[in-house]
Amino acid sequence: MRLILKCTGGFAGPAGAQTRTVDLTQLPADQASQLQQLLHASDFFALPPKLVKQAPKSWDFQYDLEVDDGGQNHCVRYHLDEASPSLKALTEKLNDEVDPD
Amino acid sequence: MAAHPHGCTCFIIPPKMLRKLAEQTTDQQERHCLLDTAEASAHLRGQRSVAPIRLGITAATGEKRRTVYDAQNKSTLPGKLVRGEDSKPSADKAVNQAYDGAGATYDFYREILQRNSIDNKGLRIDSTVHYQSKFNNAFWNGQQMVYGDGDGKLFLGFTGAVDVIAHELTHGVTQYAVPGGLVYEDQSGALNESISDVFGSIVKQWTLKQSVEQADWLIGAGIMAPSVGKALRSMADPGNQQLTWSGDDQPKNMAGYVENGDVHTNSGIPNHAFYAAAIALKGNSWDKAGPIWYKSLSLLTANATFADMAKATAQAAALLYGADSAEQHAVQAAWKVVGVA
Repeated sequence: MRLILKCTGGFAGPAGAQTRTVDLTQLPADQASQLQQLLHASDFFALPPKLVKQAPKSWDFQYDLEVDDGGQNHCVRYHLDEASPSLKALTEKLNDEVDPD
Repeated sequence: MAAHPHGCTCFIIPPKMLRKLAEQTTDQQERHCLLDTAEASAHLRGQRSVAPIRLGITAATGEKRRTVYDAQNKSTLPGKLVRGEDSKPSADKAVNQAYDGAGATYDFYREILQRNSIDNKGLRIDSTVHYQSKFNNAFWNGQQMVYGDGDGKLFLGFTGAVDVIAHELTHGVTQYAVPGGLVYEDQSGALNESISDVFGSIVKQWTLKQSVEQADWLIGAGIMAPSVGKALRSMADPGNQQLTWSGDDQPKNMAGYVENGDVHTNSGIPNHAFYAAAIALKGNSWDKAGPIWYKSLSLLTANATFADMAKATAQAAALLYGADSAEQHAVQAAWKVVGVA
């Protein structure tokens, strides 16, 4: 399973957009399991393609998370304030544990 | 240091109260100790988000109060306290740059626009450096400043440019000065970005004591790797990649307006309007053009368009210099330059 997280916003805007790509098969088993659990808890493949705020603020970073598990592929654009706790936790974990491409 | 009646490791005291005590004490070392304890306490209580932590430390004082934290390359804010107001410079250059840049921005708003910090009520300016790993950005998160280190390939860091710091802190000013803030999408979002570029540039010019003719009008000069470019944006000539970098896609007038474009793209249009007004008004950007743009903020609404900004700045010029004044005409002409009637 492959996860691609893109983050855009802040001072730099698109110029500073950063993408993190991770293949769960390449991670230690416990780390992969934690990410997979968060993905499952967020019911990611059932989420609508957009979870964005009606009136975003300058500090609302835009996230695009694409997940490909071989059988299905899904992409969701979201602001953290609109994300479920598990999707938020997944985002934080990717930001903290995966280096940008 | 006199022993504090509550000690410094007493986690039974809520973080909010610890921070209030820290605000009240005149002993700097004690204040740091209390803030450290509050931070540790908050962490133990699982308070990861910024919002609860900020509640107790936003009292108005009318004094410049800066605090710098180190996220130690993680996402948790605010991080470890590393410098407070009037404490000795850190061995960490980024810490001192964030501290000094916040100070220059505070001083500009105080001395030139008579504004008491971000919220005009003396809000303490908190900054966190070393956010995440190789983070290519800086941002105001609604309560504090956050700086990444850059990836070393595209960006070299963000604390070294005072216009970047003033840009982001001005997002905070906009948040408070425009009734309801400016929605961060479409034209209101591009205006939000532009207002931050405008005051980012003015603070830089004010710091360097440069006239409008002497200023380079670049945003983010020096933060990019030289092989990538010289700056992120140019207010004098938006979209001129020779002055900036190869990815600069900013239009300089409405003929180049990008429908559904990014707010950092279309902000080139109001940026250039400000530049044109400042050049026409001559002298220093903070003498007339800056105060006119600043006064216009309270005349805007959350979904303001470029035309609304043109109207608001013309109205602000009339309020400051009189209807039909040379200043008002200069502002109106500047918006015509960029194709906004």
